[in-house]
Amino acid sequence: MLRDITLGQFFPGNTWMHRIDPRTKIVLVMAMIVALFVCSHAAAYVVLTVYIFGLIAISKLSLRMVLRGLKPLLVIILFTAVLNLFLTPGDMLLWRAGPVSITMEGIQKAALIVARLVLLIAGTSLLTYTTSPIQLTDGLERLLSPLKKLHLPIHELAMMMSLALRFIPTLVEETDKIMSAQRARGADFDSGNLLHRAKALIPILVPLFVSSFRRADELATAMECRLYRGDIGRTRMRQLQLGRDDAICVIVAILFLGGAIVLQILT
Amino acid sequence: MSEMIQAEQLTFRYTDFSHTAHLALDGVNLTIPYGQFAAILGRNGSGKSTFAKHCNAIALPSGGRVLVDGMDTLQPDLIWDIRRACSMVFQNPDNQIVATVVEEDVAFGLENMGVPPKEIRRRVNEALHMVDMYEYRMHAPHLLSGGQKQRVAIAGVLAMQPKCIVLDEPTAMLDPRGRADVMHVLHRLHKEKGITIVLITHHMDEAVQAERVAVLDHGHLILDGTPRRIFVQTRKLHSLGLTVPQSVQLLEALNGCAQAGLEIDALTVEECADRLEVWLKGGRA
Ligand SMILES: Nc1ncnc2c1ncn2[C@@H]1O[C@H](COP(=O)(O)OP(=O)(O)OP(=O)(O)O)[C@@H](O)[C@H]1O
Ligand SMILES: [Mg+2]
Repeated sequence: MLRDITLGQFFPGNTWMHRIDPRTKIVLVMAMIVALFVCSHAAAYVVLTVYIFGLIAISKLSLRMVLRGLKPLLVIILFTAVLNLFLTPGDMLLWRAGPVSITMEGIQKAALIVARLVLLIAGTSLLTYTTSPIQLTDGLERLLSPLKKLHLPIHELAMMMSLALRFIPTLVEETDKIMSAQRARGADFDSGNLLHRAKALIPILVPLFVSSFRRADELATAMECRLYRGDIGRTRMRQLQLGRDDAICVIVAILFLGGAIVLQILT
Repeated sequence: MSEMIQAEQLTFRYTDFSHTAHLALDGVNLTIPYGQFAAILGRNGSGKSTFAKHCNAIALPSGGRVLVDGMDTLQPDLIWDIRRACSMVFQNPDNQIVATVVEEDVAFGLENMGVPPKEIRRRVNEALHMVDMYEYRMHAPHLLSGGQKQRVAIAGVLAMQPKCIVLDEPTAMLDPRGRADVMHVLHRLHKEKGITIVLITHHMDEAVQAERVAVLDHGHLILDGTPRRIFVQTRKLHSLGLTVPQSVQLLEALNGCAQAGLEIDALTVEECADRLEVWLKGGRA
């Protein structure tokens, strides 16, 4: 169950998308998010869908993998969709039973929400799947580096983020192991009411917490051994460089995202 | 001429929860010359890890001093030079790998040192070749086996071109295959690069491969010498909570029950087989 969490995981590869500068990708994902929230018309959404799934195809990511990233959020997506479907007031009434009703507006709104969330997750996972966390945080650090002048700890935040991403799989594995160990001792995580299940999590969280602290301590020592002392005099193996491909990427994004927004305004 | 690591009357005191002081190391005098392959043995809690941490100023002496490549670890302004000269690899590879791609992890130390990008690339590739992990340079570390992870960790310190690598039970969490691979890499670094290796271990078959064995107990240095001289002292080793190589055990048992009168200092299976062959032939003749 826990192994299904792929959101925020990097899939190493060497596709065109993998080689795009992380800064370009971050900015374009931001632009994509804006476009997704600005647009609401079907025509605009068709353009956005083509754009995002086109990019996924170029990156040679399997659709199944991207859709698996949706799984943890499936409940939220369905919940908001159902709420919108039944509780949107409107003129074109299709069905009614007491306080709940289905209207044409409700159907449209529910569809929009589902499309918006699915594209949002697919688009952002496109960024995290094709950009190694180090590159990702590198890109963020560079984009935000003007803020260093204001003495904001940008490098430290970026390092914390990349370490958090690095330890996600390790901690997931460990959680699995602890759950198995507790199951072997007769713990039951899958039945009973919510309170009961929440209580059952305590014997997992406590050892996980303790071991995380031990890990953090060892990691800090290991980093010190490898001469880490913050931002002072640091160089990077991968130099970030904007190139022709980044320009192409931006132009394509302007065409599609701009196109979608124009469609939205016109219709 | 300075030595690689020179501990003089090294003492380390710590206070536990009830505020009583304990000595994790008590007057240890241990000198490791350049280019040596040394193994440090001792039962749990004997002070091995504490000693290791003194080798690159992760822990500082409460008494005595430690000179690393001639530099005193008590001098704060030398700390980074000391850590550059003497690197460390720990038991759990998961807790020392920083990056999510193998080659980026190997580059981490060099980036911290401020090495130019081109040179980082060159040294990373070289280090990965040395530990036979070059094909895995784009892999995610958490998908590697324990032995592979540990070799990545070794590449990470190797790229920094240290004179000495201290390894604190690097094979403790590995399967036999992973252990053999790691040991192979350590011997290669020692022979081809002349790097001083200090290996802390609980495995006698690994200690046997070293040029020198030091045994700690309760913070004291008890035995120190070549494996051949150390491992024949079976009774002493047993009293220190250690085992001896199985080959030595076998020959000693034969001496005991069959009055074989064999020399027991056979450290490897081959040596042991030779002795047995000579004895058996002699017995038949
Ligand atoms: N900072 C500290 N705080 C509390 N106890 C400490 C500290 N440092 C060392 N010790 C204690 O000192 C003793 C020696 O510890 P050390 O970790 O060096 O042993 P070791 O030989 O590495 O053992 P192991 O084989 O289990 O790794 C242990 O009893 C340990 O609990
Ligand atoms: Mg130890």
